[in-house]
Amino acid sequence: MKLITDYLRELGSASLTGWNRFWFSPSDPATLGFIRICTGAMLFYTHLVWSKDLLGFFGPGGRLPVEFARNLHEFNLFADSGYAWSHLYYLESPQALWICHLLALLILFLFTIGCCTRLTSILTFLITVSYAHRAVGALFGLDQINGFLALYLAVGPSGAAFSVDRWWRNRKQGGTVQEQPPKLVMANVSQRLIQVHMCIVYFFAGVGKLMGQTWWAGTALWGAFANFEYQTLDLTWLAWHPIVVNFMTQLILAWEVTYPALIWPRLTRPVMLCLAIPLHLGIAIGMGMTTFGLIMLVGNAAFISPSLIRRLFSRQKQAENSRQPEKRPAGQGAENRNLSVSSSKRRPQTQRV
Amino acid sequence: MPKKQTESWKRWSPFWRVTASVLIGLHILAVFAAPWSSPPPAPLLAREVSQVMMPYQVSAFLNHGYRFFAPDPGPSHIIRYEMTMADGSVKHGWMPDPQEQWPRLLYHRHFMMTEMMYNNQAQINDDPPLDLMTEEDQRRLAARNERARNLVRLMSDGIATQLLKKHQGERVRLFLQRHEIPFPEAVQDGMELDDPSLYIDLVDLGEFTGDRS
Repeated sequence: MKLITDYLRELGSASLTGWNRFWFSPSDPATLGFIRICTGAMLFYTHLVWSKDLLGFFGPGGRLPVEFARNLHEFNLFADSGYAWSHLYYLESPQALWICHLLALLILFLFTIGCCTRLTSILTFLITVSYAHRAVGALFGLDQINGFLALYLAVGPSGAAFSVDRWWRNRKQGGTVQEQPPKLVMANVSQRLIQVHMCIVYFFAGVGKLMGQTWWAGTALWGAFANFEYQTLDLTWLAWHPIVVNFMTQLILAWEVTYPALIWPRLTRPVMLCLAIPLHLGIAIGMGMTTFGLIMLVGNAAFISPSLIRRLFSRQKQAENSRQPEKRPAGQGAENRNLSVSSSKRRPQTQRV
Repeated sequence: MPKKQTESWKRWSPFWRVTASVLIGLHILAVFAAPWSSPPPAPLLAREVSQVMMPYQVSAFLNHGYRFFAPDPGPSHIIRYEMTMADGSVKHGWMPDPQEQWPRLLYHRHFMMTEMMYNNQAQINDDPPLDLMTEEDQRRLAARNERARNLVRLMSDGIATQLLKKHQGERVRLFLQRHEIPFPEAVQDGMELDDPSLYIDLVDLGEFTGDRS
């Protein structure tokens, strides 16, 4: 009996510590900043594309009448469609639609570059959801991923790194060097939420496929490659190579089903991330869903450590600096950097004195 | 120092950690419940949980199934149209059309609309086993059929209006089509993916003049 109680106590204690460590350890917001830039750019593009036929979709007499959107929400939810809110339901004149749309694009742009991010991140989430609710009937996976990434970027300090906000803060403090922001608990919470959500996405994408005969038979990918409406790259030559189709089908199925487990261990994570690249680029290039393929890769970026993101960015910066020696002599630049670092380090001491 | 590092999660007070944990737990439950309760089939437990979470799921746009290309990649559903022009000539076309809708994302929006049209059309069940249904069930089914029909009508109306506007036509007739996927053996025998025999008219959605009357 004691053995069981000891085991349960240890299990409870270890789970509690594990939970706390997983969610509440402070983290460098670099990964979040990187995801903000990529997601913001995608959101900007996604909404920019509506501009090509804004009134054709949302205007009076458009393809997606307001009545249709409201009824479809009610029909799908078996409930009041009031939860599927959108400011676009109330914009009937073309002028009002265009003004609000241009304003939305401006906010999305500011969010992408990390300007006033605390405010623009929340507005970005609201804009994303509002457009998605209004455009119901013309949505696909891209919008779903866009939606939850925007949510988590609004929850966390997504403007704390690689942003105009950060640059401005450093400038105000008198530093010329891009100093690293402090580690933040909310940066970790936000990144973890993206990770967990990605696991849920792949888990259901995987187990959903397990219900399909063609995924078991290993022929499912033919159905995707030979779909004329999706096709942007002619892969019909695979008709002569069924074993290749079989292998790819089974690999994708195995990858999706095992993703929620194998993405966490340090040793298997790089393998899973490397496999994500050809899979999603394949969707992007072969099936004409560039936006969807790319945004899935952005979601996967949540599993890249902030230190690796920093290293990639600093390498790029170093390369840029080394390409422009004439603009700033190496010695002088180093001296300036030393000065700025030391001055920013010394300032608090001076103030204390 | 190592101890300090391992316990960095204690930066937040226990009160905030508990509060945040409850919120995170509820949020993840809502995110999980959405695809868990997506048909077919869905357990009663999942449906009950999802029903409670529905206001949050919908408000935050988290109510998705994430079953991409599942259970099986199937045929596409598109709209074929025959438009009568002012001079009496007839113009034929399809939606989506990669030649007309660019960039690709815009094309995909049109494609998703025709798929949605098919999904709504498929909900209309005109041939239920009435003798096996209670009167209440029959009433519910009739109401559901009516709502699905209304959705198809609204969407067809919107699409037709825009087509007429774009091509300056007088009237247009829409057909919902299925575009079947050929077997690999058929492709080996020389069949193209856009072979006419692969297009099947499913429903005549009606003729529209664009006045929405």
